[in-house]
Amino acid sequence: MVTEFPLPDVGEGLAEAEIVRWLVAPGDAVTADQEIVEIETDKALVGITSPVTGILVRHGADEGDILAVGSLLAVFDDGSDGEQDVALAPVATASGDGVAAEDASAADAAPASPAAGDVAAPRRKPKATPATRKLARSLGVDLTTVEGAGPGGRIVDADVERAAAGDPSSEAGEGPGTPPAGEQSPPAGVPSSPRAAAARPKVQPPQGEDRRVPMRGIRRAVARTMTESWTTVPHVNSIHEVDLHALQTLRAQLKAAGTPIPVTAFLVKSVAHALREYPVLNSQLSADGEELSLKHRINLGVAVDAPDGLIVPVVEDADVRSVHGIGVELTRLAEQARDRSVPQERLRGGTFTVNNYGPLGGWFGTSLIKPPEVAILSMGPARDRVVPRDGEIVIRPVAVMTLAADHRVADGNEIIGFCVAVREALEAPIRLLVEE
Amino acid sequence: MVVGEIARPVDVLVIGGGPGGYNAAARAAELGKEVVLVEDGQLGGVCLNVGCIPSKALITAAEQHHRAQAFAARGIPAGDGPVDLGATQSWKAEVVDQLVGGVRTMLGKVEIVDGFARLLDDRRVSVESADQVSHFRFDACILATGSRPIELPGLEPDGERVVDSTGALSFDQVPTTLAVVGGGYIGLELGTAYAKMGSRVTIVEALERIGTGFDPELVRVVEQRLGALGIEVLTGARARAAVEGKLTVETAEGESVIDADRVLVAVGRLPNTGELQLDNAGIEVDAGGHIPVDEQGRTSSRRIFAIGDLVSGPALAHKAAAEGRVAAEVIAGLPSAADATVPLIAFTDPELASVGMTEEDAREAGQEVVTGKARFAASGRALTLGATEGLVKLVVGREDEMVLGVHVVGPDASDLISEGAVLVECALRLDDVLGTIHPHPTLGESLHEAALAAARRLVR
Repeated sequence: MVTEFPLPDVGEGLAEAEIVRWLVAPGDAVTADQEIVEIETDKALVGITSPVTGILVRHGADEGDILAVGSLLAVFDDGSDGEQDVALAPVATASGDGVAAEDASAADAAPASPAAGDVAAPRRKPKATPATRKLARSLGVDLTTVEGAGPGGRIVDADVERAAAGDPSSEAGEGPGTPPAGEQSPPAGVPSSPRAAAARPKVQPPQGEDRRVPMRGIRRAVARTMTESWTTVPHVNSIHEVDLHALQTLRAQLKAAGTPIPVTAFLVKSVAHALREYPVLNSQLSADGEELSLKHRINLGVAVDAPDGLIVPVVEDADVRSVHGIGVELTRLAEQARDRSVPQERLRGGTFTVNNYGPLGGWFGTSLIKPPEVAILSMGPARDRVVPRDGEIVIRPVAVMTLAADHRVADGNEIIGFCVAVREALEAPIRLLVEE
Repeated sequence: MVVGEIARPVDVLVIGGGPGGYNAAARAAELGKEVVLVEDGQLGGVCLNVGCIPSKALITAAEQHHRAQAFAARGIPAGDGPVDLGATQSWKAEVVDQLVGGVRTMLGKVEIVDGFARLLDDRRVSVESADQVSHFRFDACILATGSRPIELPGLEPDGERVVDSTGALSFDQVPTTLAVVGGGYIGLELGTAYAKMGSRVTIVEALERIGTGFDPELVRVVEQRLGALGIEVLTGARARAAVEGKLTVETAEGESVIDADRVLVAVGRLPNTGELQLDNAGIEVDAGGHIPVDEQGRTSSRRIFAIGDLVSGPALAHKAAAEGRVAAEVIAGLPSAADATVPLIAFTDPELASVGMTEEDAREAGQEVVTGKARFAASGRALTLGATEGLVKLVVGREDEMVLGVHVVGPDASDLISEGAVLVECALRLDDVLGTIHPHPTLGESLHEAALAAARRLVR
């Protein structure tokens, strides 16, 4: 049977990869798990292995091509006949007239979308319960790449968690990646609960001697991003005071009306609104600095604290969504962050980042841009301050807002203009409720 | 777009109120979304109104009638007189009404809009009702418009003599002779029911065997029963035309004519995509008329999802319901995917039920398996039910001893298969079945017996 093999998601938020070198030519025989191609992601050189034993019929892309995850990588023929593609569905199987029957099988033999699998068709499923499969989806783990340590090769929750943390021991049993004492994987047959893991503090105090902790998972990803940002992006910071009196009044009214909306939702909406006016800040700069990609969608990453470190789930199309809708989504994302169930795809595709560090305290702060994005806006807590208004001294809740922008991409007039637009939106927030 | 028209914003718009649509709507509402469900007919769709539920009512009524006669020989007197199908139909209607009311309650906060929905683009829908056209702008849309019976040229339903499954569920009298075109599960179920109520039934199937999709070993048990009920089965036969109480049928041997006061055409179903105006949202259908979707139900247009009979796979209510819930969860940002195996069931006599790989599937997939079988003839409970035909068949991986498929033909197979579905879905092994106590005396014991039989065939 001929099967199409799409470029798999090799993790680390990869959206596309470059084909560096083909190791198997069309027409050559391959065995399952044999390395067939080397690809380069923005992070590493990775070998991709064959999913089947058979013949590699053709390459889906040439060396040097950039391929999106999910695009056709290669076509295999495993030598079996493809009869099971014929419609199995008793209802879809037309009878009484041969023409209709032919239609039904033709439809199933040629699915227009590679992902459009026939749910009824028998196929080899990962040896995991639905609960474990759900955990894998929430942690972005592809179960076909995980070897199960459970009874009979069953994939248990602990296997998925190890794979999610990037621990090589999930694939090769005990190895150099064995975690420190206290984090040993449970013995085979004793599945661990994901909730037990979530309850662990981020870093446990060492006792008696120094403890070496490998930089893994989120921590490693954050470290790489921050190093890249600090060493390659010329940051410029623009600092503004925002009067949140009107916003606090409006939120109190909304809350009394039974529709509480978090501050961050208004901040997100204000930023999205201002980005429409200043599209240069809603863009991505190529790694070589040679090309700026102005994004047609406004997808705002919002920094959220999670058990393993900061994560930045994305609120898509923030410009066309209601403040209330954004608020509901932010609340849900915060909950998902807490129990580590933010879907992997929600961590990608951001075009600008918003960071409301107010709940943590402090007064004034700056943030590092998350490349390839070109700006990040952070806001601190609202504190009562004495301010002059119309020649009078009044007390108003004031917060400090800082925009860090990539100075290669934006100049002062754009940076300040954008900040003023955000400030004006936050200071007259009722407009945000009625406009799109 | 008419100047000045205002599209009402809504989080989730569901088109279609069948099992896929109402489950999707209820789940989305439960997850905090503002949901509008558009339905141009009755809530509950084909399943509740003209499908699963009414057909099960009729099948049960026919079975009660039939079994009463069988138990007359066991000392329980049977009531006399012919079947009063009118009274049965009234009872059936009560059952349907009650369930439709239940769906309305279950939908809770979901706003139900009566009308016909069409896509205007990838964010907007127009809804046409008797007296007005309204517009909605959605964050996400779930298409759940289901399917309709395939019509055969020359045998279009005329509302009287030639009917589709809907028509056959509403007969007010038991036909003297009934020809069923199509030996899939709908034809087998209704043909058997009417035979039990007194019709002389002929099943006409174009393929070489009936009950495709199920293990042939299981279907043979049903075939034997059809014969015992006096139902004639013509395979490799094409129905051509129905004239004056006769149906012309073409076989390899030539043309023949069979008696048929009524002709039921049940040769499969087609997705209802024609009037959605999918092209306005850039969505195309495949050669079979299905909408291609990913594992989460997302179409090529990222805000629009399609579920149930609109997408490939068997046109079954439980599949649609599962896909509907998945789409709602994905829209709400939860990690969800329609990755579960869909059990197949048919309320034939005896019932057929199947989940996971058949022996044939395993062979084609190059997977080494052993099977274990247990016949209901050896089951104490089956004997006391007076229903001993059938068997349970387990398909087990030879290496890892995982249960890959469970197949049942026999009494209450449709209920027994849920245990099989858990076994397959959770990748449980033979020892898990063997180590689970199945109470005595029940039909469920036969599954345990089949596991024992499989274990004997493994080198352990």
